[in-house]
Amino acid sequence: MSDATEFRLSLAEGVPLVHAMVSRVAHDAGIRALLIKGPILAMQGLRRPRQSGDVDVLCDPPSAHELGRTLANLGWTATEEHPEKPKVLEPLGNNWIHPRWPCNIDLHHRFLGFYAPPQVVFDAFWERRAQVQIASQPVICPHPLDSAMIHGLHLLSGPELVFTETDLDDLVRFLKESLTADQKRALAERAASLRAADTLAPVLERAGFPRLGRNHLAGADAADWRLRRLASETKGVVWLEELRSAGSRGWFRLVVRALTFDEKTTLHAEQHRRPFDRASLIARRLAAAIRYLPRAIRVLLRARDE
Amino acid sequence: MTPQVAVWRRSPDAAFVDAEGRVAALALQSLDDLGARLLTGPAAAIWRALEAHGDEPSIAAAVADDLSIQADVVREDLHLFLSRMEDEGLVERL
Repeated sequence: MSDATEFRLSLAEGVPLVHAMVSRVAHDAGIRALLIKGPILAMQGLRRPRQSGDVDVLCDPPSAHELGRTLANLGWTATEEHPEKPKVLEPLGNNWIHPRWPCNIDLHHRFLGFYAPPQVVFDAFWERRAQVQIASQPVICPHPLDSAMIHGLHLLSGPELVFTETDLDDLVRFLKESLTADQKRALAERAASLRAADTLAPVLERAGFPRLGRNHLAGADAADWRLRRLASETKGVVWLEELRSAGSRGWFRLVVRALTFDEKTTLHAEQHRRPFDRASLIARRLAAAIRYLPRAIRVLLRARDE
Repeated sequence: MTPQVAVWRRSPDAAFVDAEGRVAALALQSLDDLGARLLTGPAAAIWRALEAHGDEPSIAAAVADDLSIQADVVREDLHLFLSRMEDEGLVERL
């Protein structure tokens, strides 16, 4: 009696199993962690079923490193940010890969769009956490209404996502039709308490929510949200913003880095110890900059005027 | 004395996905860096039979029916296979 000799999992197999694995690993290590987005959204009625490509985890912030170490013990590797990559946006977590699994794990210690302290946000989600069955195992996840906020912010932060409009419509319909007026008010208050009322406003307003806690996002937080949204839709925005922040002393070095740094090429050369053609890289980067920088500049200037 | 018939069940700590004609199973209580086990053909049929059957004769009959083969053929290796899956943490002997 033989079983499979091949060992290649599909995403349809790997994603559910990794959900179950991470939830179990965290539980056994005494780490509070919530599996977010992905198949959970469909199970909670927030999105149409669709194959996910990765597994998202929102971890209790002080325990994120420990969860990472636990994953490392199981053969997972954190993909390191290249030291020359723009740093103007604070990382929200890190990404883990494994040679035997077809999907990544995105391990978040903070979720974008919530500007209350990460610990406050996580504790709020954990307090009313839910559970679903994935791969026949219990998986801890946010309450459906907290998942709705997470999903909404994810959609609003990346307008270029393929399914964005459909997903937004489905989310708005769910919020509009499934909640009573009191529940809408309660969720609007919760969004305000987590400092996500302004970031979620486009969704909440379409769904007929009361305008609570609005116009409180300002300063560095408002700039962060604006930059994250712009960066996802327009190339070059993050480099330009880092250039602006560098000031006159650092701008020359930054320009050189922007022209010569190509993450994939640099990493490949470093890994394979081969020199790469820097001149042709610069030429390609200049050509690309000519294509996308004007739009990036217009986008940033328009955002600043708003 | 009648020999005791082994009774089996899927481990409650086994995560699994049954799709695309095969079963991908992962023993959560004994994770390592090797990842999941892929069960195809007779192995997948045994896993599915465990949903409703626990004793080896019933499992063998269900698998034989599923695969349109003789139950005796299934029974030859069934106990050994289930024992291996027990060692891997995917099934339990009751």
